[in-house]
Amino acid sequence: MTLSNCDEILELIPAFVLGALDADEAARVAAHITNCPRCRVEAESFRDVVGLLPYASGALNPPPRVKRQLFARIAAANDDAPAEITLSSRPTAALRFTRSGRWVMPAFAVMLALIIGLGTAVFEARGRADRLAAQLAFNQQALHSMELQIAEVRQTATAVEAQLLVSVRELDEARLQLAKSQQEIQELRTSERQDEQLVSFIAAPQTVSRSLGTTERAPNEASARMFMQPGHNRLVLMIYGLKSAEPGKMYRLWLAKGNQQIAIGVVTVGPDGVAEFVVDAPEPMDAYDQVMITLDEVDTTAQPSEEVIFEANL
Amino acid sequence: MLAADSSALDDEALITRVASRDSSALEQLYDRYARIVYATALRMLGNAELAEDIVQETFWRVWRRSASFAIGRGQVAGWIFGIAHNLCIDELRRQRSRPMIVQGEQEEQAMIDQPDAQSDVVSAAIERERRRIILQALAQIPPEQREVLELAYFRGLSQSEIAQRLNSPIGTVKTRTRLALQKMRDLLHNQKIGADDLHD
Repeated sequence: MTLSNCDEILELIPAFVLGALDADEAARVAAHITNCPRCRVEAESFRDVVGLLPYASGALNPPPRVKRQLFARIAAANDDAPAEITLSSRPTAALRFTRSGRWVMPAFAVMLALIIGLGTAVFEARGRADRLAAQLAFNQQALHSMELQIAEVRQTATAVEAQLLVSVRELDEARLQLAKSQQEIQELRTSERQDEQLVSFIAAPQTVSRSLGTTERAPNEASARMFMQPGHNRLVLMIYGLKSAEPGKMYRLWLAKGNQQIAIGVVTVGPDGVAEFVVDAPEPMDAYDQVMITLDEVDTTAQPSEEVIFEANL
Repeated sequence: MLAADSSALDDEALITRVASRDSSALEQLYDRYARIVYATALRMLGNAELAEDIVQETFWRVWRRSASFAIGRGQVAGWIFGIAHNLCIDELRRQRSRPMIVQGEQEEQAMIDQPDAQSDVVSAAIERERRRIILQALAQIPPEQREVLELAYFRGLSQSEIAQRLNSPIGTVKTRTRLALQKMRDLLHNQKIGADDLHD
């Protein structure tokens, strides 16, 4: 053994005797110790110390059955382990040579020991098997319960997922409805502002109000009134009792300035015969000479028709 | 100091008789050391049923291998404890490589001395004295060395596993292991207590 090799082995011997070496390292140390007296002595000294460590655990009585099973096992085994040290001088032959020359066993004693030993071992093994079977059954039952719980949770999860989808759809619909309502509110507010502005315009002290004259083409109950302010472009017309224009025709508002006829817009009459028309003319109303409402063909825009419904000089 | 020279002779005489297939000799060894084996196995494995198996298997192997025990090359008790320790380590490593699904009863029993109705008063006193001496020696080695000793001997961890557990270099673990056992050996020697005096 080389000195360096011994030095290396000496370092490993404490862990070796503690059983803390990996298998290959332990085998290497064991092989070295076999052939190296110096390392073997070192190992034995440590082994004596390690052999004391179990006393640190104290002492506890194993159950009596352990001893019983051990000696039943010993009694049951036909022990043929070779003894390497000198046997005692006490005869150990368990066989008797019969007169007929055959070896026989003291059958009864051996059989009895065998039966007792095997019976005890079987009883103990059965008890352990029963305990394990009970534990297995318990575990299987617990596993089954867990599987049921998992299935239940999955079912609940599926239902929750479906409900979530419905809720998402409803939420989207609610959002759309909300957007629509907001738009309607905006339109109403705009209309309200317009109405407020209209009322303000009509009620203003500088506003001039005049009735428009009707022609024979106007229904008897039809009337129209206009509102305007000097120097202002805005013209408001309130028309009552006018029938809706027949298909292909429309009521159009015209302003006349000298020989020029300017189409201002289309007057839409509601089913109640009322029309509200607000327009900002290209110039202040003072610039115009005449206002009239005619019943025109839909596709004509250049000149007013001959069918004048309302008219007034400005 | 409890000198037990007669008991020391008894141990070697007993093992010789065990080798001659004298089961009564084995029974005496069993009565003398099974309690220590059981307590150690229970401490290492934490399972009473496994500890019982260790006890039975240990003394079965003592019965089977008694002839291989070299008289004069160590103590009988140390040899018996070594068999038990190796069996426990094998079981620990088997558990680590294949964790058990069905948990048996895990019992954490206090490591206390239990009086044995069958053992005599002298034997019980010897056990207590030995335990006191060993615990006293263990208390005098530095904590980091004692920890390594605990993990190696009672937890069955290899040095590489200890290094991983403690997040220490393996060289440090090797050094602490060696120093721990050297210290234990020196302490026992300085107290003029040899292994011969403690073992039977």
